[in-house]
This record gives sequence, structure tokens and C-alpha cells, in this order.
Amino acid sequence: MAPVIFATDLSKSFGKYCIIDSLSLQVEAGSIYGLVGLNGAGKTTLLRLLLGILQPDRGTIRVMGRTPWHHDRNFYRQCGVVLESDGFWGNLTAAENCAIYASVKGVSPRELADYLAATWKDNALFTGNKKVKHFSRGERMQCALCRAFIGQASVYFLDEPAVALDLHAYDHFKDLVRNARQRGAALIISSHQLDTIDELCDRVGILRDGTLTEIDRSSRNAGVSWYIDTEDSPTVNDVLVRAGGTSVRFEGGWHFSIDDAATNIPAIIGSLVALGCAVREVRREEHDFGSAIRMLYAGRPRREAQ
Amino acid sequence: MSGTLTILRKEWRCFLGSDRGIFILYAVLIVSWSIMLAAPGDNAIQAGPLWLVFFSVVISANFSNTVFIAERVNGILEILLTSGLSRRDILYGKMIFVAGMSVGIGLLCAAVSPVWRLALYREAAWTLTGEAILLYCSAVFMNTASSAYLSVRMGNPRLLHLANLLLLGVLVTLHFVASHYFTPPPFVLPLALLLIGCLATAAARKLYESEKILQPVVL
Repeated sequence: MAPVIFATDLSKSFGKYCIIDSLSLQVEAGSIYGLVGLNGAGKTTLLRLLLGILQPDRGTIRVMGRTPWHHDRNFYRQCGVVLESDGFWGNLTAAENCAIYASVKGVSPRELADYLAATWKDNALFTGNKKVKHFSRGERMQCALCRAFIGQASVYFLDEPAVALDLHAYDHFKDLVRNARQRGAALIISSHQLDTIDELCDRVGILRDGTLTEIDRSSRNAGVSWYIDTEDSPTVNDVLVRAGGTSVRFEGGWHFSIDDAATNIPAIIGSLVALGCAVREVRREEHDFGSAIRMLYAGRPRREAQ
Repeated sequence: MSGTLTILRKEWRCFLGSDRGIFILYAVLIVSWSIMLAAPGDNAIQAGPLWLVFFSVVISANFSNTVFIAERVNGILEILLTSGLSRRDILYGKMIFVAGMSVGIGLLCAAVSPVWRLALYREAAWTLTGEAILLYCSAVFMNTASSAYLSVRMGNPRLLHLANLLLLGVLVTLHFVASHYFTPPPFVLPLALLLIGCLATAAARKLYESEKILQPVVL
């Protein structure tokens, strides 16, 4: 199946700061891709690149076969978006805000009314006269989700979509996301809420040092890594980087995952010993999907180790 | 075109949804300025170029703040950019709204002032000439276009009205200096303002197509 979102060799710098570095990414229709990373890792920049709000310095992006930077109107009409700022006109009610957005998307007032009635019928936010400027943060986020799911988009870019949601709203959000996946949409969710990512996503990309480390829920190695207790030095990092796969310094040791672990781990250990590194312990670790994400997410950036 | 109309409708709805204080302020402004315009003969505020172009800055500043600056600061512009509207429609819709509202309020002052003149001074006469109105409209256009451009170009867009005042001040001063040596045709100043407005519009359009539209704002 051709990917809905396809990015290859993507790079983006702001001045001397390289935020995205030769990153490649694919998201297929009917799948949810989680994007996690520490603050400043470049999640929002990546979403902005995929949305065509920023122009990449290098690399190719195709979303639904189109180049986002060309700012094609039809492209945006097939996108559902929740961004860092909710972007509401505070002087208007939630329903008025949604009506404006719907008209831009080519959704008729009738279709909007049907959507609100079917999907948000129990929510007083869209029926009252309360202006958005009087809403709480969680209420604004609900409105942002409502706006993003107007029209049946083919691809969704959701930046921290579950922030400040209460229990009911959070459940509703999960339903919206799962329904969108079921009807074949591709979704990217960027979040620090790892429970959300663990619960919803089929594949997760951990953004660190401008590159993505991916974990696939269905992969046989999704939850397998190796723990190597050796010194914290750039030499070790270099060896692990050269070996490919993923490495992080976490809780006093190096955690390393690689697809072909059976053949490569002995070679890696041999290289470390040959370079004079004292290897005190090597062990195989198994994680569930959630804790594998947590380990990679919390690991110290390689740049810092160097 | 439909996108421009959507933006216009949106801006109008947002304006109508403003706090009551905004409407009271505009009412006070219209009453006070129309009374000043109504004063006849030696008591009149000279409806010369300086007066008209600076009035246009005062009127358009509030609309520019809301439409161009606030939407960049609070993230609305980013949502608009990803909504399915073309960037040109967004820019033109906003410009037409700011210019339209500013011209509308200026014309309202001009329309009300003869009533004050009749009521206060027992004189029935128009207070502004066609030339003056043309000058006012061209100054509004220049302000609007310049605000659209500077709101993206300047790191601190709050200063854009000062920049507008400076630019207009230089133009009007040049016009005054020139009129000491010869009598410039009445269309020269409006034409200069329109020309600068067109250049600023082209520059704003270029910025709206670039990623500079999202550069951080410092207030």
C-alpha cells in the first residue's frame, strides 16, 4: 500500500540549529503514527514541515501524493489539524468558529449540523452562547478536536491533542481517532502523554537529535533490547551508532536494540573490548510496547553523550 | 475570490462579537472627529494632508492590531494557513476588511460633520472635498498594505504604527516642501500613497507565501 505520508532525507535548520537531520518517515492509510520526543526535539517542526507551513532545507515530502509546500487548497481540505495554539476567535462561540472553518473546508452548514449532532451531541460547548474566550483550556482543546474532525479528512496531524482533556473528553478523543483509522485515514499524533501513544498508535517514532527511531507494534523486535553495562564515553556511542539500530544511555547503562541482534551483538561487544572498553555486563531485555517507548523516550540524546 | 469573501465575513463576525467598549470607543471617536470637522472658517481644523493621513493611521491601527498582529500571536493565522484557504485570499481578505472599515469610519465622520455644522453653526455645507476624501482613502490603503507587510516583517509588530506614521510624515513633509517651490497637482500625494501601498501589498504577498509568516513575534 502506498504511504499517505512519505518523507525522505528531510532536513531543517534554524540558523545554526539543526532541528531535523536526514529524517525519513512513512505513514500508511488506516494507521496511527505516534511522535514522541523530549522538549525541543523537533516534533512541532516536523509536523509543520509535513503540513507545508515550513519549507524543508533538503529532502522530499509527499502527503497524499502532493508536495505540502505548494500550499494546494485541496490538500489542506483533506487534512485535519490540531496545532500547538488552538487558534480560535475568542469573540465567537465554538459553533461559530466551527462554522467558519467548515465553510472553508467546503462542508455545508447541514453537514456540519449533522456532524455536531452525531459526534458531539452530549456536549454543551457547541450549543450555548458562551464565547470561546471564556472557555477553559480543556474546553478549548475539545473545540480544537471538533474542528479538526470536521469533514472526513484523509490525514490528521494532531499536536498534543489530549492535553487538559477530562476523562470523558479523553475517551471521546480516542473514539474519534479510532474511527478515523477505521475509515482509512492516516494519523500522526505528537504527544508527551506516553499512555495515549501506547494505547492508540500502531507505530511510534522517537525523535532525537533530529532523527527518528521507530518502534513497530507488530515487529518481532518491538520489545527486545540489549543492556550493555560499560563506560559512558563517546567511543561506545560511536561503536553503537556504526552498528545501526537504536542506542540510548539510560539508568546507568547503554540500552541497544537492533533487528539482527543474534549476529551483531557479539561483534559489537568484540569491538568495544578491542577499543579498551570494560564491558561489565550484557543482557537481553524484553519490554512491552509502552515501556520500550518510555526507555527510548527518556534516554539521553546522543549529542549530549558525545 | 470565495476565500477572500470568507475571510471578510469572518472578520466582520469577529468585529461584531467585540466587547461593547469597542463600539462605545468608535462612537465617541466618530462624534468628536465629526464635530471637529464641522467647525467652519477660522475655527476649523484644517482638513489638509497632514490631518487626513494621520487620522487614517489612528483609525486603521486598531483594526490592523486585531487582524494582522493578534492573529499571528495567538496562532489563528497558522490554523488559517492549514484550513484550505489560499494565502492570497487570507491576505487580501484581511486587507479589504481593514481598509473597508477604516474608509467606512472616515466617511461616516465626513457624513455626520455637516449635521453638526448645521446644528452648531447654522451653516449648510459639506466639510470635506472630494480631493480630501481621495487623499484619506489612499492613505488608508497605504497604511493597510504597510501594516500587512510590517506585521510579518518586523520582529516587534507593535511598532508598525510608528513606522507607518514615520513613512506618512516623510511623504507629507516632502509634499509641503515641494509646494513651496511649485504647486503640485492635487493627485500627486494620493498617487504616491497608492503607489507605496501597491509596493507594500506585493511585498506582503511575498512574505505570506514564505515561512517568515510564522517567525516568532515579540511584543
